[in-house]
Amino acid sequence: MEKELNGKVAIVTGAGRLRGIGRASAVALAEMGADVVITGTGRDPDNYPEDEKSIGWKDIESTAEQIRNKGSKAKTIVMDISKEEDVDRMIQETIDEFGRIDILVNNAAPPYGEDRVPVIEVDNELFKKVLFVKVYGSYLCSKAAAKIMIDQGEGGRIINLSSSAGKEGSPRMAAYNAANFGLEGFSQSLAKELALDKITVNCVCPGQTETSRLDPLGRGALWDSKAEIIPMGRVGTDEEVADLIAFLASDRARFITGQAININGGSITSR
Amino acid sequence: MEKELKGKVAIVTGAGRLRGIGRAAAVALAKLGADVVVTGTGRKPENYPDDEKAVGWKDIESVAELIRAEGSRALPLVADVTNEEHVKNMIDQTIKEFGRIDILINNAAYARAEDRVPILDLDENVFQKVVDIKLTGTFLCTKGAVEHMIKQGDGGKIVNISSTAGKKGSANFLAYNAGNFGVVGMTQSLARELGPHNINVNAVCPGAVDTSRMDVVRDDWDKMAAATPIGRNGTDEEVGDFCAYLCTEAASWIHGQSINQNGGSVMEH
Repeated sequence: MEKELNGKVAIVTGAGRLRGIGRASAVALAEMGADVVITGTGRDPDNYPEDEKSIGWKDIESTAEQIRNKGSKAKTIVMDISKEEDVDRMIQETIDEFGRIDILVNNAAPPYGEDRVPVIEVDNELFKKVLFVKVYGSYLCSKAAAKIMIDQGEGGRIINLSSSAGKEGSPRMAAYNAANFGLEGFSQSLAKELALDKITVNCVCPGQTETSRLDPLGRGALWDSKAEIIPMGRVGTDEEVADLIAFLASDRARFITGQAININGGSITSR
Repeated sequence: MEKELKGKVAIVTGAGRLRGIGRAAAVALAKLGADVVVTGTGRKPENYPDDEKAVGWKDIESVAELIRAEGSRALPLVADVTNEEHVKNMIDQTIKEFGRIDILINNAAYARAEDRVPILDLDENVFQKVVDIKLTGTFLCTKGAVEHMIKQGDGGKIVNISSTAGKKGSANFLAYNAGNFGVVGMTQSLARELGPHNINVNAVCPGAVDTSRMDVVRDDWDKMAAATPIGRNGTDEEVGDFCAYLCTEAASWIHGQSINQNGGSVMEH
């Protein structure tokens, strides 16, 4: 049977972690037949989490292997998505290698960490960085990819990773809330603007997900107490989020645009 | 390859139209391998739209044929979802025939038309009917199905069909807005209640979709399409596919949501 995304080319930013939505999305798209370009920041292997070290994980190169194991082509690019010249290079290399762009998953985000402090203690440069990567980075990538999609004239998919933090403010999350709410506003604007070009633009808003990004929370009492208050009684997996992203990338989802869809086990339902 | 919903049993209410979300959802579920019970109100054949008459359409019997053509079992039932006895019968028949219930799509709704008037012209009985089918119907069917889902202990999937009218109020939409906002509220409440049983509850909120339900607004059809960012209205298959997707195992962490599917016409909530 012809796979649903055969002949399509996808870019997934921030796809180097073993336990991560970027990796899982890239693999899910490959499973449906798409060739996939994946980006990473060139993390220092010394800083990999233990589980990555123990299996000899090699960041985006390992994700590329998983993509190839699904029978799709993969290309890896080390870059900073908030740098214009890096984004231009990524787009150029994608076109050189695969000739087109159909799907963009804006997943890259700065690591979870020191921005989660009382607002009076937030480092100003860090605040800017969170917004810079999340909003400006998604803008740069979307702008460049949309230009190609419009020229191709066959529509496209832009899927932005927001968060529950894009739906509801929380203490000590000023930067992350601002960035994710901003990304959703950006997505609505883009959705309306690109709709007639058959380019859908949606956000996916995961709740607590089992990824290495959330390792700073530990996996003890704090983690469990957060999981227990989720109506489904558990946290999500990177594959579950990826599966929704892959659905949104499919032709079946062509009537869904401008939405910010929660995938959170029911923790937030009101928006 | 084993189909994703093989061995699952689904009920789709309001599935007798040729062009309709109920039919499309039922067939999409059958494509994924589920056996499907479809309900209808027993519409009078003389009131069928012309395209149904032309192809010799036989309401839920024809939908059952489409389900069987996908290799699944089908059970068509005439039922008024607001009638407790009818709903009890629907549940009993489903169990008798297929032994279990895994999926419920609450799609039945009152026919569109006479409720779309200014409040001063809105007949109390019409208001009651619209709200009753949407809310009491969803309540009764869900209650009946959930009893089995909990007993079975294998979780379940409930998808309620709301509407953009469940997200945004419009003039002359009083009853329909009330019904659909109500469905969104019920979806949120049930999600919090049934999550611990691994029963996912979500709503789909379609915009204007090309179904025979909408034949009464064909004069405004192109205008409605033009007002949608993507410049067209939706298809029943698009909504049916989305409903089926929400019923897959992979979508188990999507819970309590009322998701817009409308070509960008409404983005709130």
